[in-house]
Amino acid sequence: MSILIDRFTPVIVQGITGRIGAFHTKEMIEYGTYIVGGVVPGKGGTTEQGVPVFNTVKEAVEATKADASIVIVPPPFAADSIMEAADAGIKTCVAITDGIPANDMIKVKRYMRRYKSENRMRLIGPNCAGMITAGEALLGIMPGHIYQKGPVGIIGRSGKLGYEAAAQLKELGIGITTSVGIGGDPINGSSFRDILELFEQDAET
Amino acid sequence: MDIHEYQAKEILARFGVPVPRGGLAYSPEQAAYRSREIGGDKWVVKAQVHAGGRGKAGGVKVCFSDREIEEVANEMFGKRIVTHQTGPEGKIVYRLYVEGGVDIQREIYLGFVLDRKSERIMVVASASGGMEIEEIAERAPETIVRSVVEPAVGIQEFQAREIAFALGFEPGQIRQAVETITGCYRAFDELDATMVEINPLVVTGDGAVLALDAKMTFDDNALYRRQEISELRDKSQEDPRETMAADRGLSYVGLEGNIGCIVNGAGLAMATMDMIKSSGGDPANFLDIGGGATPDRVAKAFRLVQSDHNVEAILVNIFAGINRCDWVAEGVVKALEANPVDIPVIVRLAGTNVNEGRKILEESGLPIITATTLAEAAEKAVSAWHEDNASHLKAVAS
Repeated sequence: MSILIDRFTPVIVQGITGRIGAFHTKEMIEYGTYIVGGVVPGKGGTTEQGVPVFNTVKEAVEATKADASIVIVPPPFAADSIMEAADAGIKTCVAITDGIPANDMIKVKRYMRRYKSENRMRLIGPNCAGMITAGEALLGIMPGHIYQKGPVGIIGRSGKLGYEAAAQLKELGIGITTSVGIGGDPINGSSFRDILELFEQDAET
Repeated sequence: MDIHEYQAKEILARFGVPVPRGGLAYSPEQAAYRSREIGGDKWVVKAQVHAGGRGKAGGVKVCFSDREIEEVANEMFGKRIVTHQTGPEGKIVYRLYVEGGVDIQREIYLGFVLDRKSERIMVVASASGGMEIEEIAERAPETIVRSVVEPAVGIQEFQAREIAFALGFEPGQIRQAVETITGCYRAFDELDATMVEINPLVVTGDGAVLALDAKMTFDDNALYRRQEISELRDKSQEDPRETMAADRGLSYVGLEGNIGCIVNGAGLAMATMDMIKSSGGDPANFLDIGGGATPDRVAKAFRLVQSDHNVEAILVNIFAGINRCDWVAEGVVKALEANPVDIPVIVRLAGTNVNEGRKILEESGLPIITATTLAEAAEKAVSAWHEDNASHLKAVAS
């Protein structure tokens, strides 16, 4: 088991055609993540990294049955992308973007309350490295090779310090289930407590 | 980003917040002229520096004639104001603000902050104005009024009224207090502020409500869409090395030690400084080169760290995710080729494209000390610094 994602979670990439978006999509696919499509307004109908690109998240979800998304779009458009994901029925959204105005995040959090808590999207980040379930799926920008499969869950605010923790654990022969970077912004999606609750319910962690 | 008091007052006045009549001065003559423009027989000359606690540091003076204003201004211009918020080096006064004197009857604290817990803008106010909010929280916590604003509709009149009554405004002053509170909120929300503080907000002898001091801080992440705010930036009030770093997309804080640090990620940068300390060394700075750092940015980071003359060794620690080790290595090589150094350089790379990165360092032929773990890097940096110092001493002795 693991939390939030595994090898069967269908994922779309918001901002897939950007330089950084394309680079990390390639890395995520190579790691084994089930990437089923991407979203870039105006680029619908094209293909990137071997998967179809859609104009809107709704279209992408309809066509691919995606459950999760990763947001790799520039800060001025990131809050809008997160709200679009929430509205399209995405269950788990990882926002990598660093530099989103705090005021925009206030609006995002307020907007997400439109949905009943059982239907509400779980947001990880923004300004985070994402998450990884060792040996199964990568929904983030971390280097996959430092994560070994095992019994420890990692939660961290700092992305690079999370890498450091995983790499040092691996050095000692200790593996991880899932590592989650919650991000360093004042207003963010999930707290240490939110993720701890998920780990507590996971038998393997 | 911080702005000056007079700038905050200009902004807030546009949102309906009442402020005293005042004018800006760049010279003692101009300061005296401002007082004649304002009129009256009592004025306050205020040093415009980005720091609180100016009054106690001699940055606020009450004057009763234009000659006195000229003398006071003459003394203030170019002076270093040192308060608990400026650090020992203080901030230099280049601008003065002259205001009409006010007959103060009572002082109120009015603040607006970004509340992380409720994830909303929160009003924090107290009837015990004049002292700082930390002091109020300690000495009169029961006077603090808090109110969270629903972002979908913004602050409502009833909410501002509740705050105003809780602060003890008299019925005839409620209208002005409500306009002040709602005006501050709208300025905060519409201009992407992260803090608005009026301390004190006063009631005058004739019952008028006035913002006697004002402070605003803005969200750096939102400056791209607030051109009129970013134009208010005053670099003379910033630490020059931190400014140089920020202009190059780097985050830098200068410290007292002699091992310069170039790290990606704020968390890892702090951990690196801790490791240097626990290995017996002292970090010269905090430096986060951020995500997606290009070779060019790494080279700039090198120049920045080298510009600190206390630096006697440089430790580069990069755990690459979004930025790649080969880019970082290229940057290190480029920086050292353009600007050869005679101090030890220790580089630790890990993560994405680590082998390509190490290869670039090896093939460069530069005298770079490499390390694989964080602990090893910190130890090597401290011991290389000790050895380098010892050999310098030997050279001097012989």
